[in-house]
Amino acid sequence: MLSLYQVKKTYLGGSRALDTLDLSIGPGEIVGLFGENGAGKTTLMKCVLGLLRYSGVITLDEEPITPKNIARLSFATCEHSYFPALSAAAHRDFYRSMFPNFREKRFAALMEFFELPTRKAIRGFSTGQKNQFEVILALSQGADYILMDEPFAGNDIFNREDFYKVLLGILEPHETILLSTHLVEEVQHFIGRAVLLHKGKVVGDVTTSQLEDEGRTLMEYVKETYRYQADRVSRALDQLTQEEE
Amino acid sequence: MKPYLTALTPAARLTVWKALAIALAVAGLSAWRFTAAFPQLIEAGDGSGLRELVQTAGFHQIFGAGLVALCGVLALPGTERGAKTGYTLRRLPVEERVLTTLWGVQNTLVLLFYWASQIAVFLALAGWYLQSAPADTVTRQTLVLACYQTEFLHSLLPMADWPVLVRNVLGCAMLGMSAAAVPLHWRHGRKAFSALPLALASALAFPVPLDSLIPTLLQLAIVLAALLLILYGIWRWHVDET
Repeated sequence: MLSLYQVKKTYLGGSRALDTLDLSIGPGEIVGLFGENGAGKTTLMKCVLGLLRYSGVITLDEEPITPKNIARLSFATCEHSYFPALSAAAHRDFYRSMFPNFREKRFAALMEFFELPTRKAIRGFSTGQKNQFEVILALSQGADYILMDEPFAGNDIFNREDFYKVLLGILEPHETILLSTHLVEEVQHFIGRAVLLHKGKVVGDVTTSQLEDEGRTLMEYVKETYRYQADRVSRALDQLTQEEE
Repeated sequence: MKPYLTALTPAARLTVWKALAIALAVAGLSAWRFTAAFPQLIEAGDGSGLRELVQTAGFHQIFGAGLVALCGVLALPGTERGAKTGYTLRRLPVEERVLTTLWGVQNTLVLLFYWASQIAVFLALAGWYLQSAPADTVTRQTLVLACYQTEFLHSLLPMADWPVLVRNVLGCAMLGMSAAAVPLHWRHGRKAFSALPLALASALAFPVPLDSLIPTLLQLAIVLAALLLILYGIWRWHVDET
Protein backbone atom coordinates (compact mmCIF):
# COMPACT_ATOMS: atom_id res chain seq x y z
CA MET A 1 0.00 0.00 0.00
CA LEU A 2 1.32 3.41 -1.02
CA SER A 3 0.07 5.97 1.47
CA LEU A 4 0.32 9.74 1.65
CA TYR A 5 -0.74 11.46 4.89
CA GLN A 6 -1.08 15.23 5.17
CA VAL A 7 1.48 15.80 2.46
CA LYS A 8 2.31 19.44 1.82
CA LYS A 9 4.72 20.84 -0.72
CA THR A 10 5.48 24.52 -1.05
CA TYR A 11 7.96 25.65 -3.68
CA LEU A 12 10.66 28.22 -2.93
CA GLY A 13 8.61 31.02 -4.50
CA GLY A 14 5.83 30.33 -1.99
CA SER A 15 3.37 28.58 -4.32
CA ARG A 16 1.71 25.62 -2.65
CA ALA A 17 1.70 22.61 -4.97
CA LEU A 18 0.30 20.04 -2.51
CA ASP A 19 -2.01 21.03 0.31
CA THR A 20 -2.44 18.53 3.16
CA LEU A 21 -3.05 15.74 0.70
CA ASP A 22 -4.18 12.28 1.82
CA LEU A 23 -4.22 9.36 -0.58
CA SER A 24 -3.81 5.59 -0.41
CA ILE A 25 -3.25 3.30 -3.34
CA GLY A 26 -3.45 -0.43 -2.84
CA PRO A 27 -1.63 -3.21 -4.67
CA GLY A 28 -3.03 -4.11 -8.08
CA GLU A 29 -4.91 -0.84 -8.59
CA ILE A 30 -4.74 1.09 -11.84
CA VAL A 31 -5.32 4.68 -10.84
CA GLY A 32 -5.75 7.65 -13.15
CA LEU A 33 -4.56 10.94 -11.70
CA PHE A 34 -6.33 13.91 -13.25
CA GLY A 35 -6.26 17.64 -12.80
CA GLU A 36 -5.63 20.87 -14.63
CA ASN A 37 -2.08 22.06 -15.27
CA GLY A 38 -0.55 23.02 -11.92
CA ALA A 39 -3.00 20.87 -9.94
CA GLY A 40 -0.07 19.00 -8.36
CA LYS A 41 -0.01 15.73 -10.28
CA THR A 42 3.69 15.81 -11.18
CA THR A 43 4.63 17.23 -7.77
CA LEU A 44 2.78 14.38 -6.07
CA MET A 45 4.73 11.78 -8.04
CA LYS A 46 8.04 13.54 -7.45
CA CYS A 47 7.36 13.68 -3.70
CA VAL A 48 6.56 9.96 -3.67
CA LEU A 49 9.81 9.23 -5.47
CA GLY A 50 11.80 11.45 -3.12
CA LEU A 51 12.76 13.81 -5.94
CA LEU A 52 11.26 16.72 -3.98
CA ARG A 53 11.26 17.52 -0.29
CA TYR A 54 7.84 17.77 1.37
CA SER A 55 6.22 17.78 4.76
CA GLY A 56 3.91 15.00 5.83
CA VAL A 57 4.35 11.27 5.57
CA ILE A 58 4.66 9.02 2.54
CA THR A 59 5.00 5.30 3.18
CA LEU A 60 5.21 2.12 1.18
CA ASP A 61 3.68 -0.75 3.15
CA GLU A 62 4.05 1.41 6.24
CA GLU A 63 7.77 1.89 5.69
CA PRO A 64 9.27 5.24 4.71
CA ILE A 65 10.61 5.34 1.15
CA THR A 66 14.38 5.11 1.32
CA PRO A 67 17.14 3.79 -0.97
CA LYS A 68 16.33 0.36 0.55
CA ASN A 69 12.83 0.11 -0.93
CA ILE A 70 12.89 2.73 -3.69
CA ALA A 71 13.38 -0.03 -6.29
CA ARG A 72 9.75 -1.00 -5.61
CA LEU A 73 8.78 2.22 -7.39
CA SER A 74 9.41 2.98 -11.05
CA PHE A 75 8.78 6.16 -12.99
CA ALA A 76 7.98 6.97 -16.58
CA THR A 77 7.86 10.67 -17.36
CA CYS A 78 7.29 12.76 -20.46
CA GLU A 79 10.48 14.60 -19.45
CA HIS A 80 12.27 11.23 -19.95
CA SER A 81 14.64 9.75 -17.43
CA TYR A 82 16.80 7.44 -19.52
CA PHE A 83 20.44 8.03 -20.47
CA PRO A 84 20.24 9.55 -23.98
CA ALA A 85 23.72 8.46 -25.03
CA LEU A 86 23.21 4.82 -24.08
CA SER A 87 21.51 2.20 -26.24
CA ALA A 88 18.52 0.13 -25.19
CA ALA A 89 20.82 -2.86 -24.67
CA ALA A 90 23.05 -0.80 -22.36
CA HIS A 91 19.96 0.29 -20.41
CA ARG A 92 18.88 -3.35 -20.12
CA ASP A 93 22.30 -4.30 -18.71
CA PHE A 94 22.23 -1.37 -16.31
CA TYR A 95 18.71 -2.04 -15.05
CA ARG A 96 19.45 -5.77 -14.77
CA SER A 97 22.38 -5.10 -12.44
CA MET A 98 20.66 -2.28 -10.55
CA PHE A 99 17.22 -3.79 -10.01
CA PRO A 100 17.17 -7.42 -8.86
CA ASN A 101 13.57 -7.95 -10.06
CA PHE A 102 14.23 -6.60 -13.57
CA ARG A 103 11.85 -8.31 -16.01
CA GLU A 104 14.10 -9.23 -18.88
CA LYS A 105 11.46 -11.19 -20.82
CA ARG A 106 8.99 -8.33 -20.57
CA PHE A 107 11.66 -5.87 -21.70
CA ALA A 108 12.53 -8.00 -24.73
CA ALA A 109 8.87 -8.58 -25.60
CA LEU A 110 7.97 -4.91 -25.40
CA MET A 111 11.06 -3.89 -27.40
CA GLU A 112 10.01 -6.37 -30.07
CA PHE A 113 6.37 -5.29 -29.98
CA PHE A 114 7.28 -1.64 -30.56
CA GLU A 115 10.05 -2.58 -32.98
CA LEU A 116 12.63 -0.47 -31.16
CA PRO A 117 16.29 -0.87 -32.08
CA THR A 118 18.45 -2.27 -29.29
CA ARG A 119 21.86 -1.01 -30.39
CA LYS A 120 21.02 2.59 -31.26
CA ALA A 121 21.57 5.42 -28.74
CA ILE A 122 18.19 6.55 -27.37
CA ARG A 123 18.89 10.14 -28.40
CA GLY A 124 18.50 8.95 -32.01
CA PHE A 125 14.93 7.68 -31.39
CA SER A 126 11.84 9.58 -32.54
CA THR A 127 9.72 11.30 -29.85
CA GLY A 128 7.20 8.47 -29.95
CA GLN A 129 9.92 5.84 -29.63
CA LYS A 130 11.48 7.71 -26.72
CA ASN A 131 8.14 7.70 -24.89
CA GLN A 132 7.70 4.02 -25.62
CA PHE A 133 11.18 3.25 -24.33
CA GLU A 134 10.59 5.31 -21.19
CA VAL A 135 7.46 3.29 -20.42
CA ILE A 136 9.17 0.01 -21.29
CA LEU A 137 11.89 0.75 -18.71
CA ALA A 138 9.32 1.62 -16.05
CA LEU A 139 7.33 -1.55 -16.75
CA SER A 140 10.41 -3.77 -16.86
CA GLN A 141 12.15 -2.51 -13.73
CA GLY A 142 10.29 -5.06 -11.63
CA ALA A 143 8.63 -2.44 -9.46
CA ASP A 144 5.37 -3.00 -7.59
CA TYR A 145 4.26 0.60 -8.06
CA ILE A 146 4.66 2.11 -11.53
CA LEU A 147 4.25 5.87 -11.68
CA MET A 148 3.59 7.38 -15.09
CA ASP A 149 3.50 11.12 -15.68
CA GLU A 150 1.97 11.97 -19.07
CA PRO A 151 3.90 9.10 -20.61
CA PHE A 152 2.19 9.26 -23.98
CA ALA A 153 2.67 12.96 -24.74
CA GLY A 154 3.72 13.08 -28.38
CA ASN A 155 2.45 9.59 -29.27
CA ASP A 156 -0.30 9.14 -31.83
CA ILE A 157 -3.66 7.66 -30.90
CA PHE A 158 -2.89 4.21 -32.41
CA ASN A 159 0.30 3.96 -30.44
CA ARG A 160 -1.46 4.91 -27.24
CA GLU A 161 -4.32 2.45 -27.75
CA ASP A 162 -1.83 -0.32 -28.47
CA PHE A 163 -0.06 0.54 -25.28
CA TYR A 164 -3.18 0.38 -23.11
CA LYS A 165 -3.98 -3.05 -24.53
CA VAL A 166 -0.46 -4.30 -23.99
CA LEU A 167 -0.41 -2.91 -20.47
CA LEU A 168 -3.64 -4.62 -19.52
CA GLY A 169 -2.33 -7.82 -21.00
CA ILE A 170 1.02 -7.91 -19.24
CA LEU A 171 0.34 -6.47 -15.80
CA GLU A 172 0.42 -8.94 -12.96
CA PRO A 173 -2.25 -8.74 -10.22
CA HIS A 174 0.05 -7.12 -7.66
CA GLU A 175 1.39 -4.45 -10.01
CA THR A 176 0.00 -1.01 -9.38
CA ILE A 177 -0.16 1.84 -11.86
CA LEU A 178 -0.55 5.52 -11.04
CA LEU A 179 -1.10 7.28 -14.34
CA SER A 180 -1.18 11.05 -14.61
CA THR A 181 -2.80 12.22 -17.82
CA HIS A 182 -5.18 14.70 -19.40
CA LEU A 183 -6.58 12.05 -21.72
CA VAL A 184 -9.64 11.33 -19.56
CA GLU A 185 -11.84 9.65 -22.14
CA GLU A 186 -9.02 7.63 -23.58
CA VAL A 187 -7.99 5.97 -20.34
CA GLN A 188 -11.42 5.49 -18.76
CA HIS A 189 -11.64 1.85 -19.84
CA PHE A 190 -8.08 1.18 -18.78
CA ILE A 191 -8.14 2.52 -15.22
CA GLY A 192 -10.04 1.16 -12.24
CA ARG A 193 -10.03 4.30 -10.17
CA ALA A 194 -9.83 8.04 -10.82
CA VAL A 195 -8.30 10.55 -8.44
CA LEU A 196 -8.92 14.22 -9.21
CA LEU A 197 -6.61 16.93 -7.95
CA HIS A 198 -7.27 20.64 -7.75
CA LYS A 199 -4.84 23.17 -6.26
CA GLY A 200 -2.89 20.42 -4.54
CA LYS A 201 -5.89 18.73 -2.92
CA VAL A 202 -7.82 15.58 -3.73
CA VAL A 203 -11.23 16.83 -4.86
CA GLY A 204 -12.52 13.59 -6.33
CA ASP A 205 -11.84 9.90 -5.83
CA VAL A 206 -14.01 7.31 -7.51
CA THR A 207 -13.77 3.81 -8.93
CA THR A 208 -14.86 3.20 -12.49
CA SER A 209 -17.22 0.45 -11.29
CA GLN A 210 -18.94 3.04 -9.07
CA LEU A 211 -19.36 5.27 -12.10
CA GLU A 212 -20.73 2.39 -14.13
CA ASP A 213 -23.26 1.61 -11.39
CA GLU A 214 -24.32 5.25 -11.40
CA GLY A 215 -24.50 5.28 -15.19
CA ARG A 216 -22.05 8.12 -15.52
CA THR A 217 -18.96 8.46 -17.64
CA LEU A 218 -15.61 9.49 -16.25
CA MET A 219 -15.72 12.70 -18.26
CA GLU A 220 -19.09 13.61 -16.73
CA TYR A 221 -17.70 12.95 -13.27
CA VAL A 222 -14.64 15.09 -13.99
CA LYS A 223 -16.76 17.96 -15.31
CA GLU A 224 -19.12 17.78 -12.32
CA THR A 225 -16.27 17.71 -9.86
CA TYR A 226 -14.56 20.70 -11.39
CA ARG A 227 -17.93 22.43 -11.88
CA TYR A 228 -17.10 22.81 -15.53
CA GLN A 229 -19.12 25.62 -17.06
CA ALA A 230 -19.97 24.53 -20.56
CA ASP A 231 -21.06 28.00 -21.60
CA ARG A 232 -17.92 29.79 -20.39
CA VAL A 233 -16.42 29.98 -23.89
CA SER A 234 -19.54 31.53 -25.43
CA ARG A 235 -19.85 33.95 -22.48
CA ALA A 236 -16.22 34.99 -22.83
CA LEU A 237 -16.64 35.49 -26.58
CA ASP A 238 -19.78 37.54 -26.03
CA GLN A 239 -17.95 39.71 -23.51
CA LEU A 240 -14.99 40.20 -25.85
CA THR A 241 -17.12 41.13 -28.84
CA GLN A 242 -19.15 43.58 -26.70
CA GLU A 243 -15.95 45.24 -25.56
CA GLU A 244 -14.80 45.66 -29.16
CA GLU A 245 -18.13 47.27 -30.13
CA MET B 1 29.41 -1.37 -2.81
CA LYS B 2 28.23 -3.29 -5.89
CA PRO B 3 25.20 -1.03 -6.52
CA TYR B 4 27.51 1.99 -6.47
CA LEU B 5 29.92 0.43 -8.94
CA THR B 6 27.00 -0.50 -11.19
CA ALA B 7 25.58 3.02 -10.91
CA LEU B 8 28.91 4.37 -12.12
CA THR B 9 28.92 2.25 -15.28
CA PRO B 10 26.90 4.65 -17.47
CA ALA B 11 29.33 7.46 -16.67
CA ALA B 12 32.27 5.14 -17.32
CA ARG B 13 30.76 3.94 -20.60
CA LEU B 14 30.25 7.52 -21.72
CA THR B 15 33.62 8.91 -20.68
CA VAL B 16 36.32 6.26 -20.92
CA TRP B 17 36.37 6.06 -24.71
CA LYS B 18 36.20 9.82 -25.07
CA ALA B 19 39.03 10.22 -22.54
CA LEU B 20 41.08 7.68 -24.48
CA ALA B 21 40.33 9.51 -27.72
CA ILE B 22 41.43 12.83 -26.20
CA ALA B 23 44.62 11.29 -24.80
CA LEU B 24 45.36 9.75 -28.19
CA ALA B 25 44.60 12.99 -30.04
CA VAL B 26 46.86 14.95 -27.71
CA ALA B 27 49.57 12.29 -28.12
CA GLY B 28 49.23 12.33 -31.89
CA LEU B 29 49.29 16.12 -32.11
CA SER B 30 52.30 16.32 -29.78
CA ALA B 31 54.16 13.68 -31.81
CA TRP B 32 53.33 15.38 -35.11
CA ARG B 33 54.41 18.83 -33.86
CA PHE B 34 57.54 17.34 -32.24
CA THR B 35 58.68 15.42 -35.34
CA ALA B 36 57.80 18.37 -37.61
CA ALA B 37 59.88 20.79 -35.53
CA PHE B 38 62.81 18.39 -35.21
CA PRO B 39 64.41 18.86 -38.72
CA GLN B 40 64.04 22.64 -38.51
CA LEU B 41 65.88 22.66 -35.19
CA ILE B 42 68.66 20.48 -36.57
CA GLU B 43 68.97 22.67 -39.69
CA ALA B 44 69.16 25.79 -37.55
CA GLY B 45 71.93 24.13 -35.56
CA ASP B 46 70.21 25.07 -32.31
CA GLY B 47 72.14 23.47 -29.51
CA SER B 48 69.39 23.83 -26.89
CA GLY B 49 67.92 20.55 -28.16
CA LEU B 50 65.10 18.75 -26.41
CA ARG B 51 64.08 21.73 -24.27
CA GLU B 52 63.69 23.97 -27.32
CA LEU B 53 61.89 21.24 -29.24
CA VAL B 54 59.28 20.79 -26.48
CA GLN B 55 58.64 24.54 -26.42
CA THR B 56 58.51 24.89 -30.23
CA ALA B 57 56.13 21.94 -30.50
CA GLY B 58 53.77 23.66 -28.00
CA PHE B 59 53.52 20.70 -25.62
CA HIS B 60 52.11 22.85 -22.84
CA GLN B 61 49.37 24.34 -25.03
CA ILE B 62 48.40 20.94 -26.45
CA PHE B 63 48.39 19.35 -22.99
CA GLY B 64 46.32 22.24 -21.60
CA ALA B 65 43.75 22.07 -24.41
CA GLY B 66 43.47 18.32 -23.88
CA LEU B 67 42.99 18.80 -20.14
CA VAL B 68 40.18 21.34 -20.62
CA ALA B 69 38.49 19.10 -23.22
CA LEU B 70 38.79 16.11 -20.88
CA CYS B 71 37.23 17.99 -17.97
CA GLY B 72 34.38 19.00 -20.29
CA VAL B 73 33.85 15.37 -21.30
CA LEU B 74 33.92 14.23 -17.66
CA ALA B 75 31.41 16.88 -16.59
CA LEU B 76 28.91 16.17 -19.38
CA PRO B 77 27.32 12.86 -18.25
CA GLY B 78 24.46 13.53 -15.89
CA THR B 79 24.00 17.16 -16.91
CA GLU B 80 20.59 16.22 -18.29
CA ARG B 81 20.95 17.16 -21.92
CA GLY B 82 17.94 15.65 -23.64
CA ALA B 83 16.56 13.83 -20.60
CA LYS B 84 16.22 14.10 -16.84
CA THR B 85 18.74 11.39 -16.05
CA GLY B 86 18.76 12.64 -12.47
CA TYR B 87 15.30 11.12 -12.00
CA THR B 88 16.84 7.71 -12.62
CA LEU B 89 20.05 8.34 -10.70
CA ARG B 90 18.13 9.58 -7.68
CA ARG B 91 15.81 6.55 -7.77
CA LEU B 92 18.62 4.06 -7.53
CA PRO B 93 19.18 2.20 -4.27
CA VAL B 94 22.30 4.28 -3.66
CA GLU B 95 22.99 7.52 -1.80
CA GLU B 96 23.45 10.31 -4.34
CA ARG B 97 26.19 12.07 -2.39
CA VAL B 98 28.23 8.90 -2.03
CA LEU B 99 27.66 8.15 -5.71
CA THR B 100 28.84 11.64 -6.70
CA THR B 101 31.96 11.31 -4.55
CA LEU B 102 32.76 7.93 -6.12
CA TRP B 103 32.06 9.47 -9.52
CA GLY B 104 34.66 12.11 -8.61
CA VAL B 105 37.14 9.37 -7.71
CA GLN B 106 36.46 7.70 -11.07
CA ASN B 107 37.08 11.03 -12.82
CA THR B 108 40.29 11.47 -10.82
CA LEU B 109 41.54 8.11 -12.09
CA VAL B 110 40.77 9.16 -15.67
CA LEU B 111 42.71 12.40 -15.16
CA LEU B 112 45.64 10.51 -13.60
CA PHE B 113 45.58 8.26 -16.65
CA TYR B 114 45.70 11.34 -18.89
CA TRP B 115 48.69 12.67 -16.99
CA ALA B 116 50.45 9.29 -17.13
CA SER B 117 49.70 8.94 -20.84
CA GLN B 118 51.29 12.32 -21.55
CA ILE B 119 54.40 11.30 -19.56
CA ALA B 120 54.58 8.13 -21.65
CA VAL B 121 54.22 10.11 -24.87
CA PHE B 122 56.93 12.54 -23.83
CA LEU B 123 59.31 9.74 -22.80
CA ALA B 124 58.72 7.94 -26.10
CA LEU B 125 59.37 11.11 -28.10
CA ALA B 126 62.42 11.92 -25.96
CA GLY B 127 63.73 8.39 -26.61
CA TRP B 128 63.27 8.90 -30.35
CA TYR B 129 65.00 12.29 -30.09
CA LEU B 130 68.00 10.83 -28.25
CA GLN B 131 68.45 8.28 -31.02
CA SER B 132 67.84 10.66 -33.92
CA ALA B 133 69.66 13.84 -32.84
CA PRO B 134 73.31 14.31 -33.82
CA ALA B 135 75.47 12.50 -31.29
CA ASP B 136 77.38 15.68 -30.34
CA THR B 137 74.15 17.40 -29.20
CA VAL B 138 72.95 14.73 -26.78
CA THR B 139 74.37 13.31 -23.59
CA ARG B 140 73.17 10.91 -20.90
CA GLN B 141 71.96 13.98 -19.03
CA THR B 142 69.86 15.47 -21.86
CA LEU B 143 66.53 14.10 -20.65
CA VAL B 144 67.12 14.95 -17.00
CA LEU B 145 68.32 18.44 -17.89
CA ALA B 146 65.32 19.08 -20.11
CA CYS B 147 63.03 18.11 -17.23
CA TYR B 148 64.86 20.43 -14.87
CA GLN B 149 65.10 23.38 -17.27
CA THR B 150 61.63 23.30 -18.85
CA GLU B 151 58.84 24.41 -16.54
CA PHE B 152 56.21 22.31 -18.32
CA LEU B 153 58.35 19.17 -18.37
CA HIS B 154 59.28 19.67 -14.73
CA SER B 155 55.59 19.75 -13.82
CA LEU B 156 54.76 16.83 -16.09
CA LEU B 157 57.53 14.68 -14.64
CA PRO B 158 58.47 16.24 -11.27
CA MET B 159 60.64 13.26 -10.24
CA ALA B 160 61.85 14.04 -6.70
CA ASP B 161 59.98 17.36 -6.43
CA TRP B 162 57.34 16.08 -3.98
CA PRO B 163 55.31 19.30 -3.62
CA VAL B 164 54.73 19.40 -7.40
CA LEU B 165 53.89 15.70 -7.43
CA VAL B 166 51.38 16.14 -4.61
CA ARG B 167 49.96 19.25 -6.29
CA ASN B 168 49.42 17.29 -9.51
CA VAL B 169 47.68 14.41 -7.75
CA LEU B 170 45.48 16.76 -5.71
CA GLY B 171 44.85 18.79 -8.87
CA CYS B 172 43.52 15.66 -10.59
CA ALA B 173 41.30 15.01 -7.54
CA MET B 174 40.06 18.60 -7.55
CA LEU B 175 39.21 18.54 -11.29
CA GLY B 176 37.70 15.06 -11.07
CA MET B 177 35.51 15.96 -8.10
CA SER B 178 34.50 19.22 -9.73
CA ALA B 179 33.50 17.39 -12.92
CA ALA B 180 31.29 15.10 -10.79
CA ALA B 181 29.85 17.94 -8.69
CA VAL B 182 28.69 20.09 -11.62
CA PRO B 183 26.14 17.56 -12.94
CA LEU B 184 24.94 16.89 -9.38
CA HIS B 185 24.17 20.58 -8.87
CA TRP B 186 22.60 20.86 -12.33
CA ARG B 187 20.35 17.89 -11.60
CA HIS B 188 19.07 19.74 -8.55
CA GLY B 189 18.51 22.93 -10.53
CA ARG B 190 21.46 24.75 -9.01
CA LYS B 191 23.91 26.83 -10.99
CA ALA B 192 27.43 25.40 -11.01
CA PHE B 193 30.14 26.01 -13.55
CA SER B 194 33.33 25.36 -11.59
CA ALA B 195 34.69 22.51 -13.73
CA LEU B 196 35.74 24.47 -16.82
CA PRO B 197 37.24 27.56 -15.09
CA LEU B 198 39.18 25.26 -12.77
CA ALA B 199 40.39 23.20 -15.73
CA LEU B 200 41.45 26.34 -17.56
CA ALA B 201 43.26 27.72 -14.49
CA SER B 202 44.94 24.34 -13.89
CA ALA B 203 46.12 24.18 -17.51
CA LEU B 204 47.54 27.71 -17.35
CA ALA B 205 49.17 27.31 -13.92
CA PHE B 206 50.47 23.80 -14.61
CA PRO B 207 54.12 24.65 -15.45
CA VAL B 208 56.23 25.53 -12.41
CA PRO B 209 59.99 26.00 -12.47
CA LEU B 210 62.42 24.04 -10.35
CA ASP B 211 63.19 25.49 -6.91
CA SER B 212 59.90 27.34 -6.64
CA LEU B 213 58.75 25.89 -3.35
CA ILE B 214 56.69 28.86 -2.15
CA PRO B 215 54.60 29.28 -5.36
CA THR B 216 54.13 25.50 -5.49
CA LEU B 217 53.00 25.37 -1.86
CA LEU B 218 50.65 28.27 -2.54
CA GLN B 219 49.16 26.40 -5.50
CA LEU B 220 48.93 23.29 -3.35
CA ALA B 221 46.98 25.21 -0.71
CA ILE B 222 44.61 26.67 -3.34
CA VAL B 223 44.01 23.26 -4.91
CA LEU B 224 43.37 21.67 -1.51
CA ALA B 225 40.99 24.48 -0.50
CA ALA B 226 39.12 24.14 -3.83
CA LEU B 227 38.86 20.37 -3.37
CA LEU B 228 37.49 20.75 0.16
CA LEU B 229 35.00 23.40 -1.01
CA ILE B 230 33.79 21.12 -3.81
CA LEU B 231 33.36 18.23 -1.35
CA TYR B 232 31.53 20.53 1.05
CA GLY B 233 29.24 21.59 -1.82
CA ILE B 234 28.46 17.94 -2.54
CA TRP B 235 27.82 16.88 1.05
CA ARG B 236 26.08 19.89 2.61
CA TRP B 237 22.28 20.20 2.59
CA HIS B 238 21.12 22.80 0.12
CA VAL B 239 18.13 25.13 0.43
CA ASP B 240 16.23 23.27 -2.31
CA GLU B 241 16.54 20.04 -0.32
CA THR B 242 14.92 21.35 2.88
